[in-house]
Amino acid sequence: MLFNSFEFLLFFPLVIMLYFSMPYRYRWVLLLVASYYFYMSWKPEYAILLLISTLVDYFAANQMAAKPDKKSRRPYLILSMVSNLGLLFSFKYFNFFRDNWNPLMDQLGLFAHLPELQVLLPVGISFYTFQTMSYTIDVYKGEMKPEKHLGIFAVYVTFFPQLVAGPIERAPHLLPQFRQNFDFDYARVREGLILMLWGFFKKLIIADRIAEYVNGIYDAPQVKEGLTNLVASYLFAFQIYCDFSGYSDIAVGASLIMGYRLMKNFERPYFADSIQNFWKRWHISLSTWFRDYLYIPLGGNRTVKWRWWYNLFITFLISGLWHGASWTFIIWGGLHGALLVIGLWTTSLREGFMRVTGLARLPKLRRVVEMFVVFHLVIIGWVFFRAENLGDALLVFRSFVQIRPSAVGPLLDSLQSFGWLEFVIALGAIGTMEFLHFLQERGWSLHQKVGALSMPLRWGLYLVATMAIVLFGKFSSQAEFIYFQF
Amino acid sequence: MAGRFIVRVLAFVVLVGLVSAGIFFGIPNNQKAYLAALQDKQARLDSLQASGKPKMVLIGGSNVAFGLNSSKLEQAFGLPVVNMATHAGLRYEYMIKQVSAYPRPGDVYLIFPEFSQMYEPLSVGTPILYQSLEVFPQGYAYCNQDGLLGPVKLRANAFVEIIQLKVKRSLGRAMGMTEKNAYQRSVFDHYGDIWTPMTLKSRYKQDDKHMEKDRGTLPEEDFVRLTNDFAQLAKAKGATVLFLFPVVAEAKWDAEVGRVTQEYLKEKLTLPIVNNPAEYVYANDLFFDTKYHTTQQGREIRTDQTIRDLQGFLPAP
Repeated sequence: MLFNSFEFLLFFPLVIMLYFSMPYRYRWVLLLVASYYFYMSWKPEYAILLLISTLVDYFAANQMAAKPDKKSRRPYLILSMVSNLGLLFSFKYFNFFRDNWNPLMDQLGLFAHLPELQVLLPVGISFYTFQTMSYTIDVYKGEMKPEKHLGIFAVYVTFFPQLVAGPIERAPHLLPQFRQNFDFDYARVREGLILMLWGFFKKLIIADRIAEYVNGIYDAPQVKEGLTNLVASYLFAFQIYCDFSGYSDIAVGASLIMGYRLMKNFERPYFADSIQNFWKRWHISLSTWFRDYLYIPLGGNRTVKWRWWYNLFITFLISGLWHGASWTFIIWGGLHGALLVIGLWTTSLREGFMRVTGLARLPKLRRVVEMFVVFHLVIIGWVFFRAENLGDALLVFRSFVQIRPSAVGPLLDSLQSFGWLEFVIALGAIGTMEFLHFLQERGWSLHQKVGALSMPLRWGLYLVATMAIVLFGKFSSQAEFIYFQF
Repeated sequence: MAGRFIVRVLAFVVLVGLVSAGIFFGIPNNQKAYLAALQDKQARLDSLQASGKPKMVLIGGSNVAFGLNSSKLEQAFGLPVVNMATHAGLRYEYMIKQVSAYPRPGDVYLIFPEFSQMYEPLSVGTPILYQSLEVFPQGYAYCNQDGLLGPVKLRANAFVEIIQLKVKRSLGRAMGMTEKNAYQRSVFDHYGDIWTPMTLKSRYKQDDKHMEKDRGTLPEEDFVRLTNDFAQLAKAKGATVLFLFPVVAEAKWDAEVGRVTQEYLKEKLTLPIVNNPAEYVYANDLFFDTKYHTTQQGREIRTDQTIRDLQGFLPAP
């Protein structure tokens, strides 16, 4: 079920009404049933994967708790890893592996060909497998006690607001919340609704609108002029941000209404002044997951310099692979890893540049310059992320360097086909969002400011925001969230 | 506290509903819109039906609206023609349901679906479908309303799409943005063909990469079922139904896709397939703005070719 579907418009209020009218001790049952229904409305048979993941990790964690040391817990950790990563490999990576393995075998003159698996990628598999793996790893490390209540653990695995696209929660943060008794709290519910409204604004007005233009260009970049490809790449930066952060906002808001506080997943990433800072603001739940469960176990930065850089690079390379079974994602991850390493390597050089140019004495201007550079480096990565294959990505880059003044005509043609009004609405909405982000960067809080308004003003604002979504949101396309594919 | 909240939420929903209803009823429908031609086509179909004489009905997406000269077909086969086609976005089910009550002895129904229509699942609505309901509310009866929530969902989607259309149209006019001249009700003649003014020279560009299917997939079973059911119904009433592949610009033609589709439909359809899709692949400069929209020259070539192909299936007048 999509958040931007008619079904969710009925499903969510119904769940909320039942939730608050139900005794505390049965709420987990409601959440579990609602979560399975939410997931099964897409492809019912894949609920079995959720069930496998839940049962294996529940069993593994509880077995580990009975063991005195890490050595005796290890087989159960391996069971959990093999089970989760096995699911992930079979459904997400096997065909990619096969596509690379078979030509390699041909080259070697061996005919050990692998067959193609005719399976659909289960929605959200990368999210819930990572969430459950973090749980068993935490139990293995002795950082938390296992959940004894199978039902509550199952809710942790399947909690519908964040099941299919995160935030990837950590058990010590989310699990205890399912044992808390949340009453109806007007201010909290309002905060949750404002967040959901904000998420729908980003998804329906910006992301799904821009998607129509970007998809049209990226479907055939070879026949488009460089300037058109460039504008589509800029717009994709906003599309993917609004799509994914919109989903996260709706997920966090929906959970908050019920009382559960999910972790923040985005913090205005295009205001980042370094790539390192970008990853503290973009998909925070995933980057902290990789930090805690891969980068630090690899040795993190508490090692020799080359090894530290290697750890960083490998972590980002794997993070790229997490996003999708394609070389474009691996290169995207590797590019970010390389940019981080280069950033560390050139720290003193860049400081020197800032001193020489005088930017060191102008911290605000320096930040603007750094934000500008980081935004453009990120866009280079997005070209790989969005392109259908490596060939298309290289074609897009080649078209960038061939931009001529005559490319303005084709760009205007493409915008005309998209619709000038659509373009104006998209730009206006992006401008509004970035202006609010700018205010938030300065410590401004959306829901606090709204909450402080008088009732008529507050209602007027709600009405304007809701009508903006109703009148300018893209509903009938019911576009899936980009991160569902991961 | 929860009770007060619910009252407030309900009051807010009513407020949003009132504002939306104000837009829906306050801004007039655009009777000049391209899709308003559905009224004219329906009126011609009804008038031919009322005449009691056999008729020829052309069914399909915009490839048929742009791509056939009905007066030539009328002369060739001696049957009055109505071109029911406007836009593939109306969905195949809509097009078939729209004519299902009309077959009579001696009628001829020519179905020219676009490739996209052969591969799309029935239940998915489109903005075009919802927008058409602004100017042709009879169309509700032809839309897919399957499922418990089907009728409510259809009306809710149509309502939102229509108020969006009205607001955007008003905004566009206020900002001095004119509607594209090829997409207005006035471009259709009395047969329902787009008369393609001479000003509409080819400005076709390779706007997308693929034909509408992924290699390896086959046309939807629902597409086959709808076509066969209609053919059976029409045959029982003494009418003839023939299937024809659309015209496609050579830049977008995928011979393998065409071959697989043709073979599959030959095996599955219970009605005659008149043409070979590979023979209806035309040069790009015979297309106006998309791979299916021919220019006037392309239309004439296609009509002549279609008449030649149909001669083996239909008697001369």
